[in-house]
Amino acid sequence: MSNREFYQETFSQVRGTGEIRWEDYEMRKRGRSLKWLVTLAASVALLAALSALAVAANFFGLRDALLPEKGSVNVTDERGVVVPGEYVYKDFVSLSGWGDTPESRALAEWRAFLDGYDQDGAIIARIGNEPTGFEERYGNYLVYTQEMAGKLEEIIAKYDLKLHQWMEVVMPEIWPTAVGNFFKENVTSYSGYIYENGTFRLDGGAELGAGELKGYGPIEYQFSRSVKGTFDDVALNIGDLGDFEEWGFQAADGTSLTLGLGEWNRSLILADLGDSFVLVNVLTGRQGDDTFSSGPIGREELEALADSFLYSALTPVREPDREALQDANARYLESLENQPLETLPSESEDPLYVRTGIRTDVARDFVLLLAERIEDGRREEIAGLLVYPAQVETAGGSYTVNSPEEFLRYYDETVGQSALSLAADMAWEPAPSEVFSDGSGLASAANGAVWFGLVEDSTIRIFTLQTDQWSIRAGDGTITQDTGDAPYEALSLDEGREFLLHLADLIDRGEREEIAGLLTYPAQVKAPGGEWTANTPEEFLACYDETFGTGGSTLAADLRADPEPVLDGSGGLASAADGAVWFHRGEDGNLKVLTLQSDVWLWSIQYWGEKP
Amino acid sequence: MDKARFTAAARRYQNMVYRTALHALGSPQDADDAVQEVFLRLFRCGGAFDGEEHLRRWLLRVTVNCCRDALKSPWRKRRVSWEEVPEIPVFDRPEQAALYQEVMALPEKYRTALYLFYYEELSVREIGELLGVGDSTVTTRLARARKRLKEQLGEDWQDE
Repeated sequence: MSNREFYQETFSQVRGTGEIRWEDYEMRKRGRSLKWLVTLAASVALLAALSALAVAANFFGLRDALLPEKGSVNVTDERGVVVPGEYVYKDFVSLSGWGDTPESRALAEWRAFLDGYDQDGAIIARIGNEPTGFEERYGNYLVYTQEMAGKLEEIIAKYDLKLHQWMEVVMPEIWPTAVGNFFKENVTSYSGYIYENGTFRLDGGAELGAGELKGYGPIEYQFSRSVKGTFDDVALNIGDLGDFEEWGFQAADGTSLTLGLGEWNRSLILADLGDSFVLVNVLTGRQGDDTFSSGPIGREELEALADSFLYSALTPVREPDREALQDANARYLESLENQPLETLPSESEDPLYVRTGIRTDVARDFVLLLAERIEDGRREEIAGLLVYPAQVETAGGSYTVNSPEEFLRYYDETVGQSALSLAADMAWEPAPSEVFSDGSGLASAANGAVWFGLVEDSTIRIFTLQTDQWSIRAGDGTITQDTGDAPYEALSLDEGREFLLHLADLIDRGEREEIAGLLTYPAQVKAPGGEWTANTPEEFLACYDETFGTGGSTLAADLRADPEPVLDGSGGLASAADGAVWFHRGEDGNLKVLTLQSDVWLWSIQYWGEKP
Repeated sequence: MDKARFTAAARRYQNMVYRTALHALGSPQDADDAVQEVFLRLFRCGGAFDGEEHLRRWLLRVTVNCCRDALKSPWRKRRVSWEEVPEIPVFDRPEQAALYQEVMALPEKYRTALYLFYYEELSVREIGELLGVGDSTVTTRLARARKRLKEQLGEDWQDE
């Protein structure tokens, strides 16, 4: 048996325990959906006016790109709960061309077939992760049975189309080699894929306004060029056509475009180039999009983005040279690997330097040196690198140390007992990307085992050194180090203890309004009866009985039994009762709960917003 | 992406995402969380995928990125201590349990490279692209991991 077979045989027995259900994610979208409905009404009215204009101008609009059948999406009630068996239908567009082209008609037919095939998933469940035997000819399509293969062959014969034969990855700087240079300077392209006929898809970002940020930040996009004559099974869900404001636009190179400005995470740029069809899926709209952190855009920005591409450079289509592409990709990877230190980003471009004042290469050297000292057991030197006073936590207790000499008493219980694994974590192939900062002003490495930063005399010192068994953290139990722009004030052990006992009292007395007032919002609430997002104390009260009403007294007892907070060395957080509660100082200066969970994870309440 | 395709993707790739996350994070609980996060991103992304292979690679990339984010959180270290010690799955044969334990004992970067190479059968170049490192880095990681497994597992792990 080969190592690969041994490995696959072993890990095929390892499976997750969670369940992935579409309905669960639908519920998480609840807040957005309600807002969406409000704006939809306004958009529909606007669309009616624009449609009249579209007819007069005789340009191809989004409606001309629509596939005849919509895709189904669950209906939710006013509480955001899925209504079983009820669906709404969303609009889809083809990436291959306008709706009446052979490519799009074939796609519509294929989708109609898939919609009615293996609806309960029984066939695919039987196949699981095993090879289907259809990979060689249909590897680029969703085909896992002979019946599917037969249907696909029937469709491509009917519309006289070919199937994709191969696909190759294209590295970020290789696009000019692959398809020609069609980007302007403000556009960044990431890696993507290209097919044998020149069809390609890539992700990218764009800075608008001559490189200046105009308040809306970089715009993320997906660029698709589909060469005609080949079947492509990709369709894009655009939500509701009524969400889009659309108009015709002529790019600087004279190409006629159709632009569609959407509401949230979808705006569109479409162009028929004769031998191919371009669709740019812009990942934001009038309201912005939180998934990709893109700010809102308007007509002006969408036109500016549309003008960031040279469409005329994409036609006529030339098929890619696969070998040349592979060589170019390999050279690109080699160039990354062999990049000399001199060409590393300048200090102002080094995100670690910007956040911590420590250059990435210096930070890396520091970690390597620390690893060496730990491995060699150079305890005095390590003690000399710590910030004092420091709080030492071990299985045996919690201690404050005020000097290297005092720390050395605990060396064997902490660094000494984990020296080899700790040093290995730090030293195994360190690379610049492995040193990072979370915005606290400190840098970290080895998956958070060490946190370090500059002190007053501009030397690097260790603020936190930790494993799962012990920790050494700067401070005497009170967080005092400068955490950059973090808004936290000192959080003392006494204050934390008082807060926890007060919380336990409130839980025992069933003071639901006061408890609701202590949570941080928005909060995700998970309980046996469902999952909700509470944006205000009032909304949380609707979930109170599902949470504190079940097992609240056990939680209160746990807090009383262990009211000693554990302070997190990296920025103003504290936990207690074995992690059952996490809290911090809120914007109003009072302590607030970030997460709470019941015994045996029966229910949980978790802050669901930006990282505090 | 509509419900039918999302459900098909979940059925087909949930275990792949879980195993990738387990290798990256080393904790079944964290891996389960990562699975939820990855499929949430799939749900929200709209899903314009060029067939199965694109979807598979997209999921692998997103999983690796999600896990990288999770590993960088200073919260995570603390979290491990208040969760139960991960259980070892039941295996058909003792040598499989030994392989599982030895792989999980490796540092994260070696585990992930091993999984992508041996289980998902990605090439060195593909792994490099996914992890954002060069070919030689991947090769070195694989070589060191193999060496460690050979040392620990003896004849159960072949020389390569």
